[in-house]
Amino acid sequence: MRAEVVYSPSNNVKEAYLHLLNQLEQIDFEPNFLLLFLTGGVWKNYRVFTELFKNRFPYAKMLGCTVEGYLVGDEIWTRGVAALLGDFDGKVEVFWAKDKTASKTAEKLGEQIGRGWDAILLMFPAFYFPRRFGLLKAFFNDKRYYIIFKNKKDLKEKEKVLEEYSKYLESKFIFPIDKMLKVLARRTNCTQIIGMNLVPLEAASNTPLILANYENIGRGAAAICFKGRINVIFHDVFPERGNDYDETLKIIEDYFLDAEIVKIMKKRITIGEINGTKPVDFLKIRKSGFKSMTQEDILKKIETGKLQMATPYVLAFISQKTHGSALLGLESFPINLYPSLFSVDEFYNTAVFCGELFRGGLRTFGKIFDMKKFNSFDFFIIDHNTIMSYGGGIHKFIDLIKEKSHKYLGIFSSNPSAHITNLDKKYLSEIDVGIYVNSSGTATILEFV
Amino acid sequence: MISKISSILSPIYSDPGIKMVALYRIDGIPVFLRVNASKREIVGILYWLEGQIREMLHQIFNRNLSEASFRFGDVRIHMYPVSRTLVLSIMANDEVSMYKLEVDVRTVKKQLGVLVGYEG
Repeated sequence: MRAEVVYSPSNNVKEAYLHLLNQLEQIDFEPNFLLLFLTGGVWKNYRVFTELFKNRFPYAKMLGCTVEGYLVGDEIWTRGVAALLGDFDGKVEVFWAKDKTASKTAEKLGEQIGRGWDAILLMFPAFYFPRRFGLLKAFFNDKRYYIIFKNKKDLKEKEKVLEEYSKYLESKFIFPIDKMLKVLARRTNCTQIIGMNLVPLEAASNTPLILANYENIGRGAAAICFKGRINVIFHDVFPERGNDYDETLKIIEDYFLDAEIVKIMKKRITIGEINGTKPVDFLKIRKSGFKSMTQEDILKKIETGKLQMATPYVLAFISQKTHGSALLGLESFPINLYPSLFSVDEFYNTAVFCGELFRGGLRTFGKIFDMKKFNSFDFFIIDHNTIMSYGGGIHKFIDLIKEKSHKYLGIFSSNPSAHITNLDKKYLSEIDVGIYVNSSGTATILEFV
Repeated sequence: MISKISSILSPIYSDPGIKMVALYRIDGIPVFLRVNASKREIVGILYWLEGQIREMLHQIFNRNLSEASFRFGDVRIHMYPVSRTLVLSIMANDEVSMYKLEVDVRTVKKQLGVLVGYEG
């Protein structure tokens, strides 16, 4: 496949526009697809860039979103804009859908995509941050549902409240990652699906931004589908999962810091209680130095785009189906019922509260490049938590990549998820058969042969 | 040369959260300076910086520090050695993500190193 990357590390939109314009003048082929990535400093002006590319390549299938940073050549930037222009040797198409709930959106998108694709790159907001009023309503509903939850004595009735609250969350904010992958896998029968389940590191109103065929799709889901020579690789940095609950539990306790087994009351995508207390209160008790946030703090931060979504404290759930595990970050948000970005029904009712870390440094992420099969153009996605964990140290990626790849574009984005069948490693993140989900430590490569 | 330095540093100073970007020689003389704030806002800090810069540069080079940082209220100053004789100084407000700035500064340092023929 012929591919070129154009980019500008400037947050000055005019300057970035001119940089891109100059680079586009050198492009001597007509790409049939285009992936556009906007960082926090420029995403609000996305129209400037979509117009530029639309005028230049009106027939290219386009997909884009906000990212935390990108890696091109010897450079890593967390500002500006980058685009991959590709002339894929096969069929390529972009689809998008938007409906009232996450399930309906996924069904609709799956129906549009249909069958016969070799690989799908799916973008959706794992959590969509609305405007101030939307958040105020969310805080109100959290209180309302919590009062009902608290007043129920029976476990089944409590679970029913959590189920109702989950439905509300799915209709306004959350696209459960595993559900999106499962629906799409069922609808399309595709065995290589990569999920870009977007949650910004620093959240702002109306983020994450997703663009499909040069349009902002809001709280919807979009996918670029490839039929032809493409290989998809998924990797997580954690040790392999165990064969049963006890083995996986031991692996988690050995790997993560300060591991403590806790009892969880949960349903669908909502955590009601951890060890009989509100999840955020549990966190405050365990980590007394952790600063509490007020609703006003949240509203102020989200308006300035500075609401930090990364946290070192996690709940490690263990899957009843595969004995894999997925981490859910715990942050001291001023809420009573705690939302999960993946369905929690098929996990055990005990989980491990622990401190997140990556053992083995960046090399463990870099192992994904050892799994490459082709000398090709590589588009890869690395968990954006590496920026928080390693800071400037992520430049070591460049050496790791250059050993194995000669032409590439990498992005630092939300921990990618996947539906891939027949992986030969027992990844910890495999929480359902062929479904790989985690809130950190994952990476993926699309090899365009 | 100055226009090349300016071009390399422009991704950093194009950020409104960055108040100042300067490239200092080891003797404390700035070879490049770009200020994104009013004189009133920044003059006190620059005055202080001028009085301290030689000592700080001496510390950075002799102790082989990869970075030195200072905080003045809601403004932070970061100093990164670029070569054996040059230090990059960045003044940022609280809204700038330090993790991300660190990532971008590494790229800029590499590019400046290539420009002045320093291989680190």
